[in-house]
Amino acid sequence: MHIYINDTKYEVSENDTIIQVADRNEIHIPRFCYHKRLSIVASCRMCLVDVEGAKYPQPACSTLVRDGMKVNTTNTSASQAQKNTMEFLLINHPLDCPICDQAGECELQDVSLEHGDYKSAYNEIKRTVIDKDIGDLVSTEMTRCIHCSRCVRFGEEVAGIKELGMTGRGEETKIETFINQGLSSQLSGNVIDLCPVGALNNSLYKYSARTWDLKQTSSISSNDCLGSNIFYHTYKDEIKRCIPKEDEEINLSWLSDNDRFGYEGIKSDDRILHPLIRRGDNLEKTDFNTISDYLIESLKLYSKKSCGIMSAQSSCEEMYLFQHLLRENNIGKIDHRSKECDFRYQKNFPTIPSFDIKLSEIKNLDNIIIIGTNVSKEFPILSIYFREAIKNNDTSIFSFATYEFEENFPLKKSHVLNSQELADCFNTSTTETNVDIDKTGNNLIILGPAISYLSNYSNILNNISRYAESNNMKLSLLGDQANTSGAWAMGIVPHRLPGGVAINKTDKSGNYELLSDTDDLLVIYNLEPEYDFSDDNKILEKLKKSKANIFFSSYMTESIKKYAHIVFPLSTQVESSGSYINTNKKLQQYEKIINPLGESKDGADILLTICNSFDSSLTHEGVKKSIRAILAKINVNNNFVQIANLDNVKNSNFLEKIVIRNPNSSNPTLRRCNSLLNTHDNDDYFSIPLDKTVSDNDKIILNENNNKLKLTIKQKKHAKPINTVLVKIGGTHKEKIGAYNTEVDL
Amino acid sequence: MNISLSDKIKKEIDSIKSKFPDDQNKSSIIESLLIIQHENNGYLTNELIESLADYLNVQKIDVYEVATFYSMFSLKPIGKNIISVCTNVSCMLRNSDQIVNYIEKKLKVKIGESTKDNKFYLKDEMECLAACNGAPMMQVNHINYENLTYEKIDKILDGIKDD
Ligand code: SF4
Ligand code: FES
Ligand code: FES
Repeated sequence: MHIYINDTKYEVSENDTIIQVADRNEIHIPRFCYHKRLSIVASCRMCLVDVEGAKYPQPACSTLVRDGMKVNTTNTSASQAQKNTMEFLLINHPLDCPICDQAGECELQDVSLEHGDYKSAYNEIKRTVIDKDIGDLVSTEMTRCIHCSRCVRFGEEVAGIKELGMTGRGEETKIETFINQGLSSQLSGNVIDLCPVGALNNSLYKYSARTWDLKQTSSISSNDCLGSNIFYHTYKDEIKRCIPKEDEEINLSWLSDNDRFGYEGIKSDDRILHPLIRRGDNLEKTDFNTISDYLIESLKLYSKKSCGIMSAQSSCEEMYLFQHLLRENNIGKIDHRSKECDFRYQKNFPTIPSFDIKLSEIKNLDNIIIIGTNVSKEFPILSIYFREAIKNNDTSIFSFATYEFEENFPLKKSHVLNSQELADCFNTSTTETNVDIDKTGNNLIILGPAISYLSNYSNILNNISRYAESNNMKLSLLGDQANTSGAWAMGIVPHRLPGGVAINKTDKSGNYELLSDTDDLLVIYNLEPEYDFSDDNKILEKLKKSKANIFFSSYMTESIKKYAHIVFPLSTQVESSGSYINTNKKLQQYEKIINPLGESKDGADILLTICNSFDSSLTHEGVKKSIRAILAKINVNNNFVQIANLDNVKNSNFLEKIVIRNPNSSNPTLRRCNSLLNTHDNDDYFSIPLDKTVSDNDKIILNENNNKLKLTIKQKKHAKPINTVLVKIGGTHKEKIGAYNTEVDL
Repeated sequence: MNISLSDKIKKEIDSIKSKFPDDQNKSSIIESLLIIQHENNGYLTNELIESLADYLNVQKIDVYEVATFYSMFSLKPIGKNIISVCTNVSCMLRNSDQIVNYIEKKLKVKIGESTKDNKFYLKDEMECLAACNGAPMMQVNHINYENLTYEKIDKILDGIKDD
């Protein structure tokens, strides 16, 4: 089948619209309401083209092709129609381009210039619309709206929650939320890109630069393990904004709010700008040589009695160098799993944990079981694929979690269970499993990162793996940081070298403990003791007891101030270059976007300089080469983790505590992005089972591991899970919360 | 705040819902709003809109869109008797603007307002009321009055008793 556009013949297929054929062949047709990833409404009439045989010009976005159809996009009939539409669109549009953020990249401006007229027949007063307050991330200038409805359809179709709507009618038509409610979707920032005019704007970017002055650099998200592709726009060494880079394998045309607004924190007041060394009660400025020597001496002095804990948000290069430095000094206790407390599974864990299937294959699945993750909040981009699957294949999605999560896609069933029940319900040895789905289909189980914080993680992992394998399902393991897969592959675990090479030692992995025993030297890399450990009490205790504490950190915290002996000022991800391995095992490079603040330095540079003091042959290029070579050798077929002779850690009748953290605060930089934290899910509460009572309403005292813990947050009650107290913590909570998962007394 | 809908209203909404497929609750919005408005002295509140959204399990903005689109819904308290003067093309050519002026002066209200005693509501009518042959025209409590003159208006409005 073929059609002619402007007298040239083009191959088409049956369900093509004219605009799709034109776009494929780079023939320009103006448009406003049409967007390739949204439904077609044909409401703006900007795409009118001349179709031979038709009485009037036809909208190219909604007109299907016919064999032999002759379309003209530029003849008098088409261009007159376009000119007329443009005149009507401009009747009520303000001429405030000089102060509009969209100017320079405004579709209305461009189309007007190309297809509009230089004068208008309209002499009356233009309408004005009062701006709406829809939250800290998206600012509005509603007089500029041309009612294309892209933002409304985005909410309904992509984000899965319709928050913006078109109210009123005729001249009174407005885009707004229900009585000025703020946007709550974790994908809300995408309406900024979608809006063809300057009606919906980026609050962080507002009035801070002109589009034509910006420099664009591509990068990779550092906030979740999907590894979304992004562009940073900078002006004079300052990040002005962040937008999605189209990527058909990962983030399509979209970006999560964490990725879009997640750089705000780098300018935070508590950035560490200089190398610091302890003198008495204070940390004082010093130089890199002094603290590097201190580090090298400490490594030699404490050697085997040391422990290095590194964030999985670090780059592969940093990881490679970190473990190299420590292992060269005979330090084997290296880990990235700071939030975990059950490590019995580790010997059987895949060399690289991954999602196992391509994101684009999600749409062909029949059933998806998500365990312990709030996909819409933790992995907003993934939720877009889920919605597509439901639409395409009527996929059923089941949720098993310790908390009643709200999702932006319909769940077939949602089970709220405590950690013991979670392990039990996938136990294949008991006759009935509680999971009732068609086992013959194309099914996937997804294990969220929060499950790994539970004290019976190994049992859950083991049961689920056996269940998945015996039912022919695939298993996906989602990491809790941008480079969790990389951390496993680069040997940031005590029992494996880079590439998953097992370390042959007398086996004591069964009793491996990260936080409980004391070490003489602690090296903590890009992690905050207050937030990033499975038990804040334990890590603080450990810091207190050790003889030397060395921090690599971008931000100062109370505990660093109190316990650090030296601090290396680390530059943030946007100020460094490196690579991440995403959940699809794809190695993605990112470049430095802006120069590091103060004297802070790229971690890979700091580590390389130190490594060079004993191994001068090491170079950045060499490290990169090694990483590629390591990855090329790794071969993982599935994610099943089966462990023989595993004991049950839990008895059935105790009260357990589970902490649920706001996903908008999963790394140190995000914790400092105030606009994000104020907008999304900043609600702290403590919830106890219906059958329990606490006398004093404002003070909840928890007894755990011989520690007393006072919580001063609001209190709730829940029916499920049984025997569990839930502590839900928003992004700005500053007090101690104790262990992620433990036995407690009220 | 969420005020719950009365059982009577819920029952009526259920019967509306039964006319549409299970996953198409949005189709029930208009009819449900009419019932709710009728029960609530002729106007809707944000709380009622929220309650309906919850009951139908649709987004609040979905209901709000419908409530603001149709001129038959009011979002604020209004007078008992509704006067709608058509000001669309045919009526406008036959001096409907002066008719509006006259009524505004007579009732001491502006268009879109209700009289102090709450007897009349002079509605801001947007669309042609489909009686162009009798222009200028108005509707009072949904009854058409055509070929209006000032005397005729006096007679119609003065004829409405307080009850
Ligand atoms: S706000 Fe922007 S995207 Fe939304 S309808 Fe108006 S012009 Fe379109
Ligand atoms: S783009 Fe075709 S009508 Fe809007
Ligand atoms: S214009 Fe008034 S009834 Fe049609």
